[in-house]
Amino acid sequence: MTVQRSALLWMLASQSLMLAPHGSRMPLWMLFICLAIGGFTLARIQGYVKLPSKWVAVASVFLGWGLLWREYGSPMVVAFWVDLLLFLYTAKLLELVSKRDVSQVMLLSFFVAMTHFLFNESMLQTIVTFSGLVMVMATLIAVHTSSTQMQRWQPLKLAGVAFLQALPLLVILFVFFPRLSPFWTIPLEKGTAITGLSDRLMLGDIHSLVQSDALAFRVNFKAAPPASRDLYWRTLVLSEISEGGWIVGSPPAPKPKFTNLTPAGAIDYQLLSQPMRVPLIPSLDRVLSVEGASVSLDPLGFVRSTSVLQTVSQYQMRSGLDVRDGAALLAAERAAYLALPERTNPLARAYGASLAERHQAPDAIIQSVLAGFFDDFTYTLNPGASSGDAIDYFLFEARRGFCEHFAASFSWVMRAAGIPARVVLGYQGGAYNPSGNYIEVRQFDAHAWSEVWVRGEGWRRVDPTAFIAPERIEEGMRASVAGMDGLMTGDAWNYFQMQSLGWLFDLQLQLQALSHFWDRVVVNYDQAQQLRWLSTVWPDLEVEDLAPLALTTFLLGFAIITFGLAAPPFRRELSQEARWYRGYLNCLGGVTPDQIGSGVGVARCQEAWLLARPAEAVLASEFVEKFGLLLYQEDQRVSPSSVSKALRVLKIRLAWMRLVGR
Amino acid sequence: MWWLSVRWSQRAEKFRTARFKSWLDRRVPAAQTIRLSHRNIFIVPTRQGFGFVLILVLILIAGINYQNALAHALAFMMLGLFLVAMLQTHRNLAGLVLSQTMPIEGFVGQKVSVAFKIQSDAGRVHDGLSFFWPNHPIDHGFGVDRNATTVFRQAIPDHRGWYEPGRLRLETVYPFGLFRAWSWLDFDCKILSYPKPVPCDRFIRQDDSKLGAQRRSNLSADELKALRDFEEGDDQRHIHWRASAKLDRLMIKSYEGQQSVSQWLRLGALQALPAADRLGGLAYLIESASKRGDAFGLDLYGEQLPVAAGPKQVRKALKRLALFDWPGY
Repeated sequence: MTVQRSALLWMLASQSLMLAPHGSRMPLWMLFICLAIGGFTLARIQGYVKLPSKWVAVASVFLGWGLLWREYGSPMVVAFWVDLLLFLYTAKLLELVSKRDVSQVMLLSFFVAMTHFLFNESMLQTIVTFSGLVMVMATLIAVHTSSTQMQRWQPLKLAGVAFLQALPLLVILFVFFPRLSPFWTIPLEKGTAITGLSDRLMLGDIHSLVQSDALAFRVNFKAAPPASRDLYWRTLVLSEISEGGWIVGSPPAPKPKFTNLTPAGAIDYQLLSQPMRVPLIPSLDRVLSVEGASVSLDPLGFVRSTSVLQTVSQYQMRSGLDVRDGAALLAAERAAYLALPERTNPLARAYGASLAERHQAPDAIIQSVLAGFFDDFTYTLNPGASSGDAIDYFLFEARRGFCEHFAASFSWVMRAAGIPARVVLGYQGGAYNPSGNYIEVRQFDAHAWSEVWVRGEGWRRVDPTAFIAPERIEEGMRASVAGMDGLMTGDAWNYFQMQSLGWLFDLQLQLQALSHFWDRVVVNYDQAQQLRWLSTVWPDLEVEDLAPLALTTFLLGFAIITFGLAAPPFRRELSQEARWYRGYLNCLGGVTPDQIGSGVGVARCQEAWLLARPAEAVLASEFVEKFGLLLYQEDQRVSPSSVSKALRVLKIRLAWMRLVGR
Repeated sequence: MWWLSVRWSQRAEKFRTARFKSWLDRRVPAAQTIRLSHRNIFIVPTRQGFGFVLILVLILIAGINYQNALAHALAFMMLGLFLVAMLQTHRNLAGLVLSQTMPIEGFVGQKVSVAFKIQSDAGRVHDGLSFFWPNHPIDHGFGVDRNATTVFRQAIPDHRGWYEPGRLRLETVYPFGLFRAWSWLDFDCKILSYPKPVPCDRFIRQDDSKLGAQRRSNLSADELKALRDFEEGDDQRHIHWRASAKLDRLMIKSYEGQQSVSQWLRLGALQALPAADRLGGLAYLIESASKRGDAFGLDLYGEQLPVAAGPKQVRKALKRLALFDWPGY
């Protein structure tokens, strides 16, 4: 090979770093092939083996193509193309000979870097990717250097410097470059399983969800965040009961309200949602408005997204807490919200009917169920399996359950009692992160509650769980599990175990805050945020101004870097003595050049100066004395720093004298 | 493929038309000492550089299509790196000071080493430089650190007289290979090229060859007689290294019996040779006389160099041959 060994080692190292983030995602066989090719190349660099015939490289490419096709079944998956790219990126090593080959592999690394960001946009990933690219640039330096004794870390150092020099341009362009809308859209099917709510509620669904500590969303409030008991994140309204449980159904649309609801206590917040299973975005209680890419408000009071939520997305929202709009219910709506399936749960149906007979006011019915009937129920994460009619079994036999059981059966009973009712799915509570000043909601905060319609008031939220297990609502899931050791399993349990580890948990909070900041400020930096951010500096900024602004700032930044790198050195490497001498000559202020000529020693200059302007020249006597002692008599007592100091004092006093004298 | 033309160094000749040359003479005038700066450095992306931009654009398009902020950032980082690469490659040449001051001479058809002094004006390290005459052998790259470096480049004169090897190309793709910066440097470098020696023992007159034979036998029995100071033009093989090391200056061995025989080398005596080879024949004779240490005189159709011996005489004689101007030669 015509390439230096050190350059090849750099190349292998940077390639490994660029492949590593894909390591856990790519098929296992491919990981092995990559490792094998890497090991083979290492052996080749060390001189143990020779370059294989070019047919090996060709055959391996076809083999990789075929195996990947088999793996993914179709080439219409992004992962297929990404893995193919990675395969070529590695297989190139089998025919690597010249410097140009190394350069090509290194250029391909930038493309590989982009694929990292398609799958993961976290801060950690960004750090890993950019470190990999520094190593890629270091490889290029190692390839092109002609020195054979370059220090081992020198290429990395030089590449790091180049990155730091390019960084200002990155920041300028990132902030100012106009964000364009997509030219065409390619669905990005990543095939990763996402945990989250689904669009139906079968008993046991939420129970499986609370095993997960996956992040659901994070919220930044403009003002202080509301108390935990008020944090009901509505995600979906279930209006119909089918065989298995509550489903979304197709309730008649409510009468559109034209009144612009902006209650005094409206809360503004910014919600950053993680990828979701269903295109629904949680919003706080009664959402009033939402801004963000492809979102709309459902008439039932929750937020829908028209596109699949594959990435972290950010929304600006405004909500009112516990707003009662007093809206009337249409006849069709009323019928829908009272409908119960035939011949199921006879006990619950009878119980509902008896309630309706005993009480007239809906409030009384609700109170009697919550305070009377649910009184001796147990809130548990481990309700056991149900049999037969799930609602009857829960209400009259097991009497222990989870939020979903309470909400589902409560709404069921309400309908049986003649009160329009529905189930709401969402999240309740969330943890406040003081480091980042935001509320973080995880999947184990998933919750279900009921809404009943009361005449003159409209839909009212009733959360049976709040009556059975008030600590769940008051202090959140994190507090309520404290007394239920061993009931939770899996990731969520590990998460709560972490909580007891003091500083480690604090550290985790800090990291989460950092990651939230990253998601909010960097990953979700779009045109809206760009305008919002820039308009704090330029209040009248329009979208059209972005391009010229980007160009101007970019050219400015480039000019500064160019000046720093390409301008001739301001000061040739002068010795300390020469700089002192020149500093002294500058002090003469051009008064006496005719009298002394050029290239004359300090002592002669001083004489001439004393003759011309004694008042000024006297100030320089200390400097002249020390300069002479140090230079010509090599006096040990005079330190170089004292000469510098004397020169500084001279300059200041001289400037002062000239200023005052004028 | 069109991009093959991107490799400028290989295609240099194609661009060096008369107009280009006269423009270059104005832009980068000849000088014995040349300082590289923005005035005389040219810079263009390499093929890898264009590939880099292509990948940058693809990444930006992907970033826009997937609305991926970090892909945007990656593309911007690449643009920044591309520009920094341009500045750094330029900087790798800028501030270099090259000079060529020594007179050079050599025989036609033989490699002549030309020494160039290179130092960094800015006190920086410059790496990955290559420096060559187009059409002449390309050496390995080299670097310049804070101290001055001397590099030797070889030229092969192709005609007698003042041979001008032309502009030298100094180029670099360091540090990233994304840009190629180069300059065409003219040191006003002229090589005094002597005619190529042509063996002609069988053409010279009897008496001369006898003398030669006599001397040759003497030389073989030579004994070292004395040492004298090295003079320019002395044969390096005769340096007495041990004495030189002791005295800290180059000493040369001088042999007994030198300058004892003299002869006239006449152009007119080589009429038997073809006209083109006659000067070469004389060069050959001068060389052999110099090896033997003989004194000789040179007669070029009446233009005479008096009989003498020693390196100075040899150089004078060869210079006469190099610059000999006569119709038909």
